[in-house]
Amino acid sequence: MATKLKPVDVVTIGVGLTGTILAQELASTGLKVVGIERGRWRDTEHDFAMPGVHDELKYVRNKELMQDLSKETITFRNSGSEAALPMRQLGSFLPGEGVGGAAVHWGGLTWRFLPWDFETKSQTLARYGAKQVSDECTMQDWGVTYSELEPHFNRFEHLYGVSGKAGNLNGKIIPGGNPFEGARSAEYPNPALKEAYSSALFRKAVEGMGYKPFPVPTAANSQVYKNEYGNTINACVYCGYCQFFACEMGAKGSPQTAVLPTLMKNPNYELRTLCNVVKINLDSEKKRAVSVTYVDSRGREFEQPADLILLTSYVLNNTRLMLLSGIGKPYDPNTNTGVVGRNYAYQTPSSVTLFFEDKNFNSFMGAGGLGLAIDEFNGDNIDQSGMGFIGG
Amino acid sequence: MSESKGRREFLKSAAALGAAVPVGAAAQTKSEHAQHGTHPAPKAAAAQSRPYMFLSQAEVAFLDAAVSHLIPKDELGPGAKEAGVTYFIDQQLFGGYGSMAKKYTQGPWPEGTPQQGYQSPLTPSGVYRAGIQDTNKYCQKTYGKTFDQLARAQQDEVLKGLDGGKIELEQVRSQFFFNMMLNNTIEGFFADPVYGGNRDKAGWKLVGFPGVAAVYTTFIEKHGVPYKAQPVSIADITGRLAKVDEHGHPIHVMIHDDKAGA
Repeated sequence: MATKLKPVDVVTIGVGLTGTILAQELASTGLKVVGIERGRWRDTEHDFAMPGVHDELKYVRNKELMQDLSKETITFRNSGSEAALPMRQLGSFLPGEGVGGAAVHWGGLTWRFLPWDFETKSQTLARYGAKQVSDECTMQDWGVTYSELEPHFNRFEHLYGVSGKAGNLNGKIIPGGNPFEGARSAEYPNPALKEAYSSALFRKAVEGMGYKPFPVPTAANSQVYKNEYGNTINACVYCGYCQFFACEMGAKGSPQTAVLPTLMKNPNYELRTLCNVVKINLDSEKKRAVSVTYVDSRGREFEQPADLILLTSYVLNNTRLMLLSGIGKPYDPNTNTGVVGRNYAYQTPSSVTLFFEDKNFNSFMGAGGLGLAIDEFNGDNIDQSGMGFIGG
Repeated sequence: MSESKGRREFLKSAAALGAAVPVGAAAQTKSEHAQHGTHPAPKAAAAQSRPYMFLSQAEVAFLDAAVSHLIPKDELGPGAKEAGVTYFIDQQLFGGYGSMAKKYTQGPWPEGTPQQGYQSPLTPSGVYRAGIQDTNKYCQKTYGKTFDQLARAQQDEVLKGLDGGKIELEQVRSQFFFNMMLNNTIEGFFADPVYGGNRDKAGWKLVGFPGVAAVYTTFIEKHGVPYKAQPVSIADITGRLAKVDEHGHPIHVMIHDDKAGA
């Protein structure tokens, strides 16, 4: 039987990238916030210390910072006709576990969506007509636009100390940045990272072809930076242990560097680690979430009532909790009805490896997202008439 | 200059500078410390002192033979066997990796599609036990000897048969076993020496990898200039054999050969 706890104003289920920012914003208005995290406390000084943090076997191959699948996992299949089977080991999806979540081991890539991305359907129909879109395509406009989100993109970049170079500042095209990006209200808080040899060669090649290369925006901070919460993020030292790893320098924008030092001092905030939320409880009319049930590391079950319950885990677990709790209508791909679990999209980049006989790249050096990109082929930046695809 | 010639020269210069320091498991940091000076212990003795925790002697013989094909010793340097990969695999199978400590191990057990990945009811330690047993059974039947007793050409034939799925094993899919062995061999050759493989940092020296990273803030902009450092392992730092800066990054000792003089 669950022990019922004293109600609070807000509960976040998960204490990662979104859970920490929302908690900080809400706790600073005077609301009592409880963060419930299934994993353990992790900080730079104790958990990400040299030299153990530079261990490729532990962190890349055996995925030390990610979800322990022995306790719970997802099942998956590639089409409705297959039998769904358990994901036994981590592969494509790398959900985090523990305070900071996946934003501890992320590579720091901090792209903004293009304005086109928010209005994919209407813009595609307007430019190409209905013939460009297959009947099976379920795309729709987001319902919010780039310009509505721009202030939030900007604030997040300034919170995490993103390094980059603006290409469109209030509508004015700036050399060196991405001329195809949506208009920015401000320059990046930190200048772009230094350019590696591979980037320099790429720059030379694509500039010669008439394209406009720009530095990839990344939360690896290019200099020591202090954010609006008063937290200091260190400068990246290009050690090359970024994605899959935690940063020993505290130079990667993360809950640990950008938010938690302030949040943990706020008397309105309480963090409960090693506590796994198993259900969101609804009122008698099933209209309103009123509490969460969780199990702590001693096996005790608690019910925590709250006015506001925020799903701040990764989308897979958020969706799973909603389905387990009877919230919303589950998505049915056969009838294309329901919204919970609908249109899950996962970013799957592709890559090409080049070998040069006569060049030395010291490719063990680098930073998360250190590199150049061109956007000429992204989004709707090229004419895709009759190409059989949209989105670049 | 060809890639392999460059590697040879790198290795030559590294050896000339006495960078070839035997490095063992974390538990052996003490003896390694003693070895680091002017009196290195004979390699054979160091190898013998490693206690195998999971593999039987027959399994050690099998893996010594198998990994020496996957990464052979050649003019560029030691291969997987010499680098302690069998011992690395033993330690992995004995530990969390072998029992899938952080992986999902409950049923159901249909084979699934290739895209559904690992779907065997066997943990890696079970895969090795079954795979080695069945492969030896196949070798006995086909050649009248166990795998480790075969001529190298025959061993090659068997490994290719496992890799291509032409040899059917009874208890485990042959390609599944082969791929696991290949992956673990690569891991053992290149992982930090604290895990018992990559002995003498053979894997890192081969590819010019400096191991635990230093601060590269300045060097990242030296385009095209090879960064040649004596590789540093985790145990070098915890054992205080390598100097570190205020954040704990090693201060790499650079290798200056004739070519890198510029």
